[in-house]
Amino acid sequence: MYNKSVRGELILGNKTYADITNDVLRSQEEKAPLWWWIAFAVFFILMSIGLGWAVPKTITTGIGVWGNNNQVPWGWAIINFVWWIGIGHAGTAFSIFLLVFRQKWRTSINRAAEAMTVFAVLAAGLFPAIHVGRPWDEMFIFPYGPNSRGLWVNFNSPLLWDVFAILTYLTTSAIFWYIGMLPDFATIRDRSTGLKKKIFTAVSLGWVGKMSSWRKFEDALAILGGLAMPLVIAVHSIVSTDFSAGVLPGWHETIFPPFFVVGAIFSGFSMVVTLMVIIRKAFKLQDYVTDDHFDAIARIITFVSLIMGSAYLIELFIAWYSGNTYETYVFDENYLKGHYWIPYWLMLIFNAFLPQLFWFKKIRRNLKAIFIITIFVNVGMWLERYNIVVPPAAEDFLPANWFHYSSTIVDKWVYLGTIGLFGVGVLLFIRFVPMLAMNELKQQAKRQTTLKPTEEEEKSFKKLLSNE
Amino acid sequence: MSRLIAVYNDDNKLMEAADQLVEMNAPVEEVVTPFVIEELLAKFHVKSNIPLLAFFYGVVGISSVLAALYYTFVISYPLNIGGKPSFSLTFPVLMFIGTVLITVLSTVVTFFYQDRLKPGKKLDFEYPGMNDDKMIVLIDKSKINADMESKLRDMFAKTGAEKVEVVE
Repeated sequence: MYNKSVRGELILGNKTYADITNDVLRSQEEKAPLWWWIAFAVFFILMSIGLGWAVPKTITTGIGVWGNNNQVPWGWAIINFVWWIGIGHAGTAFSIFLLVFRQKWRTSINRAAEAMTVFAVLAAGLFPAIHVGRPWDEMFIFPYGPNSRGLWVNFNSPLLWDVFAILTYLTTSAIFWYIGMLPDFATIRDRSTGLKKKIFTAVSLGWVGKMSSWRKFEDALAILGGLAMPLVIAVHSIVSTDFSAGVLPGWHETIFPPFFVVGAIFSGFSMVVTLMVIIRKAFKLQDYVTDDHFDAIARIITFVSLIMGSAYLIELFIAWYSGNTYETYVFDENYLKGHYWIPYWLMLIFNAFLPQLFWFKKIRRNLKAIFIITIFVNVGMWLERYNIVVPPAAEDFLPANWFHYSSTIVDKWVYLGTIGLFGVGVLLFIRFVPMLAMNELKQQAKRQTTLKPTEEEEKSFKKLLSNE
Repeated sequence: MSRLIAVYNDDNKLMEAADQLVEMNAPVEEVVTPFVIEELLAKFHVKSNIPLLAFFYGVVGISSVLAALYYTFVISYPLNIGGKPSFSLTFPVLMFIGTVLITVLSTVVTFFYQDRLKPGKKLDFEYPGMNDDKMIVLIDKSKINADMESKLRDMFAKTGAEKVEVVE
């Protein structure tokens, strides 16, 4: 499927297989640079305060330390949960959707995207776990038997589906990530000594690279990928039914499942780009993560942004077309010109308008511009979740009950704690695990060499053209 | 175990050798490569039954989740939720997720079991650079006679093997 004239060379600099190994493992084998230590310290502090102070305070004191109130029962915790889960879909979107669609340019980016998935889903999972208020009773969520309580859990509830969907997604993503790394762990094992060798001997599970193993490896990965692809759609559809199964205007929408899935892919792709810009710059990987890669992702982001924009318009149109007073109030009064106009309009600008700059090739190939736009998209996607969670609940059917929401310091620190957790995870990943899939890059390098015309072929082709 | 090995650092040369090996009907034990070479797998007709087994796990998964849901919600403790039937239309959601979980875990266990992968496993074969840029053909020496060995050595040399040697 690789077509040189469309995509350009995906690995630059005529790399040999040994070059690929050396380039990718350089970040592991050399001492950590100063910026890595500084970034690690910052994220570690965020994680320590967030998970070491804010989360225990929530658990020991209760949900009252958050800004949630009777009118707005879901606040930052659910916003952050949906935001992280959305980012967590990047790994599958990138790695598996592009694998299934045979997009070879995924090879340089898939490993980082998969890593991101695992850390983002871990961060996401924390929020519902503490939002229940009494985490020590969490075993009641699982259907381990009716005798202790007299009845089974409610299998008809989207909240219960969430538990199973997210745990399955985390398991599948982590396994897919790990299996894909086995050959690369073996490469590190063969090159290292001492304790490092022992560790990588254990984690590479005795991988040698026999052709019979490669066959099973390829088949197992294809099956995992094939199953994870519909799973990603299921997981975020289920997250959306947490809202759309409710009766609140602004939540009760049939558009939510596809809208959430597309939004997840949008934010996930943006986060991948943000990270890949940093990784490429920091580790000088421009031969592997080329401008063509960013160009391709920017095109996808533009396309998805158009879908997001259309979804926002459809929501507004249906609210008006329904003639329903409550529905119209949420969109027309509350979002467009009411109490929540600032987050709503910022969301529109960041998600629907700003990515349209990618129509210009110059911007698609300008790393600084890509970096800034994708950060805005991530902020925009957080605001989108804010707009879904807070305004419809704050001003619902009965104006006498209306009450607005503001987050507390504990809310903010739990969120910052998860950003710290994600940052620490990503930094450890780029330091100790091959951040590009070496075996896949080598396969790509082979494909590139095989498809590259020889000098003779090029000459005869030119001759043919001149005759015509 | 004594093996005749031929080490290549170019997959095109390896493929030339693979063509010859098939023609000579040589008893190739394995070919070790740092990445998957689809043409090589096709040449030696390397197959696995993992897709078939995964399908089987899927069937078992979907049936067992349906059975569990049916037992809990219809037989053990039927709830009256707005008069709707206990055998609910929402079951497929959990059936799908449960099927994925069961299939994924079983497929991975099968992969590890079939390939005998486990922490601390002693390597079947070791050669410097084998997971880096070397591609190595392994032939069980006990399965070839002296005549075949010399033919193979010639062929490996002609196809550009970097090294041909006997290892224990």
